[in-house]
Amino acid sequence: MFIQQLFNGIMQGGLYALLAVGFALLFGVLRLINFSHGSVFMLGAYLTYIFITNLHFPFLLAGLISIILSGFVGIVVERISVAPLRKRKMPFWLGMITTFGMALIIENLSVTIFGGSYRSFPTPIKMVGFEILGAHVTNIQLLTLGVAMLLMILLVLFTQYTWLGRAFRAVSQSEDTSSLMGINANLIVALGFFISGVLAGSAGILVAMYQNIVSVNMGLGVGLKGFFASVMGGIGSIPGAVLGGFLLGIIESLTSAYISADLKNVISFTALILVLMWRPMGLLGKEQL
Amino acid sequence: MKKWLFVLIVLVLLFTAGCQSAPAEPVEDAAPAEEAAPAEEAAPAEEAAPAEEEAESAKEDIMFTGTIELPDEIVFALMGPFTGSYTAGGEDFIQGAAMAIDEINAAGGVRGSSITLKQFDTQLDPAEGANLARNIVSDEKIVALIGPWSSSTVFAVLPIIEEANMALLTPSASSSGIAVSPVGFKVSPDAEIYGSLMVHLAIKELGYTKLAVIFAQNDFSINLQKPMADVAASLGGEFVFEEGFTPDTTDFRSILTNVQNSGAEALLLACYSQEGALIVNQAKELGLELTMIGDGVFFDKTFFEVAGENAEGLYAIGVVNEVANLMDDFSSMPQYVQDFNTRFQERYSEMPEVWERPTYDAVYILAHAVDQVGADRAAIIDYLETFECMQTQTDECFTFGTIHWPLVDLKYYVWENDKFQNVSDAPETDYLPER
Amino acid sequence: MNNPKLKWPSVWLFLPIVLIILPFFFHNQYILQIANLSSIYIILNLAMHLMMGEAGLINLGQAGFYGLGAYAAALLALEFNLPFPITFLAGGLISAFVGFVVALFSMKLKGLYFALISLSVAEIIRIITLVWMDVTRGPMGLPGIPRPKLFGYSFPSNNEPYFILMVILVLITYLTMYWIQHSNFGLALNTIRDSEHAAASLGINVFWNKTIAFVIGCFFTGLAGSFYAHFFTYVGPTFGWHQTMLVLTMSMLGALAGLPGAVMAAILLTTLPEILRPLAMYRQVFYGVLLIVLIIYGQSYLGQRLKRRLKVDRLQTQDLQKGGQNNG
Repeated sequence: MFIQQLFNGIMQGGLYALLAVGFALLFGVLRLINFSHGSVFMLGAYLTYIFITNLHFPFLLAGLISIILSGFVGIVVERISVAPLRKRKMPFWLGMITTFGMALIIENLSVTIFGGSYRSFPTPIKMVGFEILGAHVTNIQLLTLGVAMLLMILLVLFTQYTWLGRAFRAVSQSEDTSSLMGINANLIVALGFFISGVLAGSAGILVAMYQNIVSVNMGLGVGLKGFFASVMGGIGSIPGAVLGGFLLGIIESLTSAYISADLKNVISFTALILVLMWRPMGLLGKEQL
Repeated sequence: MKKWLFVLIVLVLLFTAGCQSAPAEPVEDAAPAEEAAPAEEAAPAEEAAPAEEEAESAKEDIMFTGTIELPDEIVFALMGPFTGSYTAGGEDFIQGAAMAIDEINAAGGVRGSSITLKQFDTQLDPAEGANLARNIVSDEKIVALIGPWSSSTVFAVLPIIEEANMALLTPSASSSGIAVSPVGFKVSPDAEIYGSLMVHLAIKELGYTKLAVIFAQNDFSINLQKPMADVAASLGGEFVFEEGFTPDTTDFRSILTNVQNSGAEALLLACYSQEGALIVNQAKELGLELTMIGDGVFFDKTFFEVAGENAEGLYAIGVVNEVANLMDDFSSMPQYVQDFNTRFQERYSEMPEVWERPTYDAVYILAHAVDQVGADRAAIIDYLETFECMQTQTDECFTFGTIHWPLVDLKYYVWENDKFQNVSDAPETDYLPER
Repeated sequence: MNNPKLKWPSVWLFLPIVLIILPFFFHNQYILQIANLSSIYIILNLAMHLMMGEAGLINLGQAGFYGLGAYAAALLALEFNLPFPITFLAGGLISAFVGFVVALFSMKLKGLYFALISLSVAEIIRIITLVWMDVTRGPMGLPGIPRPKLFGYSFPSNNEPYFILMVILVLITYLTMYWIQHSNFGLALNTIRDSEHAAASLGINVFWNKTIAFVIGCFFTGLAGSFYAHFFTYVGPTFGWHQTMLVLTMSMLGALAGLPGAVMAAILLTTLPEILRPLAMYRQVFYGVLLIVLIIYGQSYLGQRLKRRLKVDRLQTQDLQKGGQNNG
């Protein structure tokens, strides 16, 4: 039974990790808590649903288009709620409020346009269950975990080994210095939001597939989880966010299993507090503040 | 200079807010205008039965108690979550209420006066509800309140509505404390009844002795779950597993794994339809072979779309009309139930789900009350407590009585071959309080 | 006070007087409700102003302490039938105590980490109120909280004497904050806010000053909570995410401006949803748009005031060096 609970935690953790990573990207670069991350997450899933159900696109096409659109929504968010703040050199925590405003706009427009009820998400793959080490697993679970891991690995490779990725890290260390080096910080930031949007949208589609459900409210709690995972894993560290995500999933699963499902958030946040007290920069973070 | 401009703008805004407290024009309800037309044509025909009833009683009144003077426009308030994190309830409210109002007005209104609905959006926030309640009681034209949707919001709103001696009819909220208030009335039966019956179904009808229950941390589900352990004990069974989950949970696998290992024979689900669908699916993914039992509120069309084949063999408890359109023998349902579905389908191009019917009933009950005693808040409350019997969608002989909620016939169903099949009637004794 | 008084622009004197008289003109339940609610939020904002505007603490968990005060007052009134003055103060004291405990183990950390811990604490408090059925009745909340009762007079409802009570409370809070702002303690906080290193090198005990500011802020936050409980006569586990954000946005806007700005921000953001009501479905969308506009463009106005205050503060810092430091 423990194996099963562990598996549950890992599966869920993979999804959290994907969320956290998109979140951490912006957190690391801009010290910005992007409250609209959850809304883009929802849009990725919901747009896919619309494309499949109303426009009859095939699944992969719908998914791809939604993911790209999510990236563009990310850029829109940046242009409206973050760029003006950066231009005026305002403190970073004001970005919390403006991105929250964007979240309100996106979520409520969605409720008005799409309606508030939840809907069945069309999954193209038939569910097949099988046993690994005594735990029940389904092919869809493995698929979502696989895709999530792939995206995260791609992101880590990107930031570590490509020129663009290095530019990212430069800007997150010091915007002024990197500008002096010829890096267009504004472009980097916009790109960051694009990638973050893509990740959020992908996560949304994966979660919708995983649960068979899509609703305009699915983004609400998401921001908190992503934020939690990236903080615990380490501010500004992508691998840290991945670790944080998996940890969160496992903590939640084991708490549900052995203590009480009600208390899983309490336990996970207490764990966060303890980690912060002992190692404020997170498990894998580097002292950057 | 700029400072004074800023101040001036603020003052203007505040004064506008102040002036808005005076009743504004009625807000449009959500029903699309074009769809109302065909519904109205159909309505007078089917409405012949209740309209005749009204005409009859109206004549009696004129004979025995003299004429009742009504304003040209009778206003009811409708409170619900129309925006925010959970809007399905609010949407149901609007659909049910709008249809009822259009039907009544098309048939001549209440003694010639038309009924209007004013909508108040609680956003599922009790504090917001309390704010709105103040607005409602200040508005002299409003004579009764339909809603709110959740028990928590009802509790926040009740003290204010009580002070104003106005009737509050909630089509959906189920907490027992509501009916204790002199002005609170529930159109749906108490959630504790459902919970007790779910246990009875599992033990007496299906023969299980070891039960498990999963419940959400919201007022409805907690009320469902409250009586379960005791009822099980009194029937010779027991709960080997009980677990609650916080409302934002989407992954139940950990809990379900525990259920699997607890030795339970049946799983009772005390939650709403979205969580229910997730639980049913995830249970099947984990290879859980238990029988599962849900309550009437569960079952909307989306639930079955999401659950698909996994819903096969699911048991349910429902009032006749909640699962009407999913019944295998729908044609054997009472005519008024079938007619409602037909009219609803014509108007909204979809089947009714959960709360449209109770809201529809609430409007009709209130209209009936106004017809009998006038557009007076206190008189309406008295009438609601004392009227003997009225035909509604919820029950053929619907009455509130002094307990402020209706006793209705409940049945057990099982979902097989994409339809609900009758299992049996629920018992009438032992679980229902005295009138 | 041993520093030059800030000249209080006359326009800020005119507005509050108008606002206080306003509800008496309308004699309307709804207006009174908004006025009373604004007063509660003003107290919240002033508390946040102390913590954020003066001391530079980023407190993301204010809603948690708000809820804590509300539940404390509610439980004491319902379970133990304690009289109003006690339950009212208890809400504040319990919040302050918990705030003290939190500060003990987190105030040493840098600003952002403290913010994260405060957020976590608020979330923990929220979940506890949700699931601790035996005490808080979970999602069903605590209805039937008695209304305020002072010296035998019960404030039965949302009426004018009630509002007067609220105004008195707001005034007391405001005066407390004003007094702090112009005291040595306030100077120390400002110095810490601008640069902890500089403050430490001046001999200011950063940890204790921040802690005291935080505790005082939590006290008033808890007071606002207990008033919430007695006002709505019902508390439920709704002090969560969206409530946090609402309170936060108000507070952040208020923290940027001076004390009067904090008051204005509270009133504005309480009445705004009411004004926007005719927009029905689009109300929240508009609110979001307004938030963004306010932050981005409101800054230029508010920003100037902040710069002016900072200039004055620098003079005061020099004063501090000469005048000696006697802050604990």
